[in-house]
Amino acid sequence: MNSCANSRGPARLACTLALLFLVAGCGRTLLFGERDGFNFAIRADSASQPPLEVNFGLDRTVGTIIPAAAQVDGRPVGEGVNMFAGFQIDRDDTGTPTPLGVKIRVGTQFASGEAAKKVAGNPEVVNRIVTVGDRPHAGPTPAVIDAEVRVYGRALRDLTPEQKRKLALDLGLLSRSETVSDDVIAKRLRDHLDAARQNVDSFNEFKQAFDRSTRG
Amino acid sequence: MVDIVSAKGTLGLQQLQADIQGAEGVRGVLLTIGLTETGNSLAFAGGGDIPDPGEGTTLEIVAGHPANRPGFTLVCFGPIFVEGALKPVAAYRPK
Repeated sequence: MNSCANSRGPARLACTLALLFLVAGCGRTLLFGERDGFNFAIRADSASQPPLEVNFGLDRTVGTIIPAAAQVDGRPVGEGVNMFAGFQIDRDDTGTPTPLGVKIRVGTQFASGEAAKKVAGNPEVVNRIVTVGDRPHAGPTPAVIDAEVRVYGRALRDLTPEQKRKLALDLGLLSRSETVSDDVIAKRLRDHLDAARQNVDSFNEFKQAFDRSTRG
Repeated sequence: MVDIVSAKGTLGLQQLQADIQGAEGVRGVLLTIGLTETGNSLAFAGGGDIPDPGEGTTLEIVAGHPANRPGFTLVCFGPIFVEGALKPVAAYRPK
């Protein structure tokens, strides 16, 4: 069933892009489409070792229609619009392990045109675009540091914007050439402490950096 | 600024509650819980009130509309992922 779907995939993608191109009215519109298919092959032979082999394969097709940067007398001039893209494949734990008991997810993020040009000089932002699943993950706080984490959480919240900027610089969460708002700096610091508090050693490192940075 | 944090949908109710209470110690109180394709998306009042230990948000599986609990505020309720399946859950916070 999977392989059948895959053989039709490129044609379907091409048709979809062609249709979108028509819908877009041949304007200066960037179109981005993708199709992901999974194949798996199973080899079962009780006489061999291992007796069961399962091979997974990803078939990924990405298509774009990119207009020229400008037109003169009906002819395209200049390079196409800019685009950054990234994708990530995740395998989820689906409970009882079985040869086929896996769930695969494919995530894609991209930025194009003006957005891509504006962030081109900022490697951190580009990295965030091409790194899918960048959102912080929740986790428990070890009981031995729970009360102290809250003390530092409040202290972090109550720092002045200048203190937060200094701490973010000390922790490597901000570069000196970067221009970002106080809210973004505060969010980076919270993300950092939220990750650190899930491990006693990491939290102790944060404490030392915090105390050093805010002393005096 | 609202902080969004993801949580695995395979977590049990107690594990998810522990994760929420841990994050509240840094990000402020829980505002609501949303869904992703296979997990939960937790929204916190970034930089807001940080509850004391033992005063964090608690989760409870409910049937129908959650009951009012004296001394608690109902934060939110609805279906969220618990142990990989959608279950109706209410979130309470001590007043």
